[in-house]
Amino acid sequence: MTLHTVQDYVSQYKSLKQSLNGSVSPWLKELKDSAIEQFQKQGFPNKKVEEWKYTDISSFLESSFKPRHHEDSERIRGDLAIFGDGKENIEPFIFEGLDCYRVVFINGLFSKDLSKIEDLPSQVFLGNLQEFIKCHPHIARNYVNKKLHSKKNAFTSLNTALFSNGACLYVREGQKIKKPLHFIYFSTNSNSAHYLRNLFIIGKASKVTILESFGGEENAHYFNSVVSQIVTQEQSQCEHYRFQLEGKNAFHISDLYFEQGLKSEVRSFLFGIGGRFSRQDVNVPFTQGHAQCFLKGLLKPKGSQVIDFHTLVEHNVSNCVSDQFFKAVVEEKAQGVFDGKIIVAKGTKGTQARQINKNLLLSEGAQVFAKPNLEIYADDVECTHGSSTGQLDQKALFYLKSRGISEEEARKMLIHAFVSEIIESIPQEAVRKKIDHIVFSS
Amino acid sequence: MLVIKNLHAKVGGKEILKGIHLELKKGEVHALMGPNGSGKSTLANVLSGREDYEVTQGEVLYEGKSLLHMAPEERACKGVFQSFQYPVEIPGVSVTNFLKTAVNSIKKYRGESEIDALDFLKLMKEKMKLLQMDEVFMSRSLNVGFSGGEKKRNEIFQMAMLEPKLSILDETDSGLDIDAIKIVSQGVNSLRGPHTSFLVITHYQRLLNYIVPDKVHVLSDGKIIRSGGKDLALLLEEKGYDGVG
Repeated sequence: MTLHTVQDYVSQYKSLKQSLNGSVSPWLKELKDSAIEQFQKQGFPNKKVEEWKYTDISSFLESSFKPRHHEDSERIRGDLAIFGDGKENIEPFIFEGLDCYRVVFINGLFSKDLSKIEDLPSQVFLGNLQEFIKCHPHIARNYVNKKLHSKKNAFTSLNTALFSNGACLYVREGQKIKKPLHFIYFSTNSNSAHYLRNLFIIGKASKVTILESFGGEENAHYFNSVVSQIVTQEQSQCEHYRFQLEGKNAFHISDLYFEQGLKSEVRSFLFGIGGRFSRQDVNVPFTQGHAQCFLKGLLKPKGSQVIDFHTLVEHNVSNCVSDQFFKAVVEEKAQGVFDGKIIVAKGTKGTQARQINKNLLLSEGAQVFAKPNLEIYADDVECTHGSSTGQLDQKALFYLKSRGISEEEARKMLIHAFVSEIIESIPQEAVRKKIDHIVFSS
Repeated sequence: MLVIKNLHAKVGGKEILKGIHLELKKGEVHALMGPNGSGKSTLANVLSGREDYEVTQGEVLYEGKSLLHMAPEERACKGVFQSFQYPVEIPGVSVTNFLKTAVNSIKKYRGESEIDALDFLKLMKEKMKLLQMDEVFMSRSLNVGFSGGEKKRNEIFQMAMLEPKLSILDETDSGLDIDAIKIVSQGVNSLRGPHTSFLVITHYQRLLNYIVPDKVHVLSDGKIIRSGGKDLALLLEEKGYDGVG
């Protein structure tokens, strides 16, 4: 099978550039040019690159994905027409009993019809990035810039070059938004690549709950490339959920950045359930003091799925708190990866960093690569970490069976018990119920 | 109810049970006593279906059918219960959820419909009261953070909830103070009746002051060396195991 090369993707960029035809601001064009250049320099990562050691992307390189651009109006109409009258495709992602604002993307394209953004406070922008760049170019420019593609991740550079749209939220100062904001990214069997660039800005002392659901038609073949920035300004609070529930043949590669202001607080719950191959990077580069970030994650690959999580928490300044708690349940011949890195910079004080990773292997062919990674260059640090991998406790299994519970039910109870530490800590009841159902029906 | 014939069993290649004969009739309570290492717990574990025990000879009949051929869950569904000497801690599984699943699994096996949530709660509260357990235990993870005594009480509480026909109590009294022994015994005695049978395995005679047995067997080196009435336990207490051999 022929592997797609860096050059194939560069040509895609060239044709995109032609189709853009000056509809994009010069600064954005310049950014994209520099991103593709960066991508060419980086090339696709291979197993020799430390961060991609356990993540074999050859199945991705073997796949062909048609690029999609926002000018491609006929296709947009085609994709959206499928969903024009019926909402049944996004129905499975909706949280029963939870009244939310909603932003929907189909195959990477914003769908106004399926979105629900009426009655927003005037201090809030909710919708798509294209529109936000038009209305607030100066704010957008502050965040959508070269900062991200200076990093090692070639997929992030590629995303920057090829994205045309993405989700956007901009909340001004002092807004407590009671209703959660739900972003649904749904894909059909399109054989296409969707480059989403998401920007969420939560203003000073504001408070929001963001839910993100990625999903697709059951056996759909597509590629979602997602780069997201969640900016929490001074003293703001963000509760964030991400459900990666992509279709069975989908590829999902995402890079998420929490850019936290002074005394801001982030609580993020990350679920890796779907897709054929997924890689999610989560970055917390602290640059302001007294910020707190709590990450909880659950990976549940089965069949021949690969679900990979990489976290990078950088304590560049003093007095920040980070807490990571990741669990993986791996079945059949699937593979799970948790690679978590904490860096505490020299000269910083009062850092509290915790990282716990627990993995459960349910069959002989199941694999998990767990790599806790701590680089501490400061003295005044409170740092704990731990990683363990095991199987179902045979003694516990026997105990349950000796009370009349079947083997199957007993196993289910013990798996449930293992993941409940993550699920039970979800503050939103509707979300808790939904994810519990998803985890145990998938 | 239970007939054990010439039972031989090995653990880790070593023969522990060397030909046990025992018959426990419906409505009877038998005590099985013996020194450490005599095979008491091995017998209990063989009866409950633990996989690491190998039966090399003999058979065990429960209500006329071969018990040893049944999976552990099947034994429970057919009315066999064992109170374990060392109950396992299971974090993340609450006492309530566990018992509800167990009660309903047994009901399902017997072709009965599931228990109503309110009836279940009522039943739980009633049985907890019988064993003087605090209701906070309902929402706690199974055996996690329970003291030794609380674990044993929880075992008898489960027995009371599942209402088995045959109960095997493996050193339920060890680690209990005298007040707890009284409470646990009360729980056991409340289930005694013409249709239930008990095999009470114990090291000491004192439990038998509260759960008065119909028969007492003395186990030594994998064999029952003497059987008798409840007075045999008193004799043991007085003369020790060597004195009755």
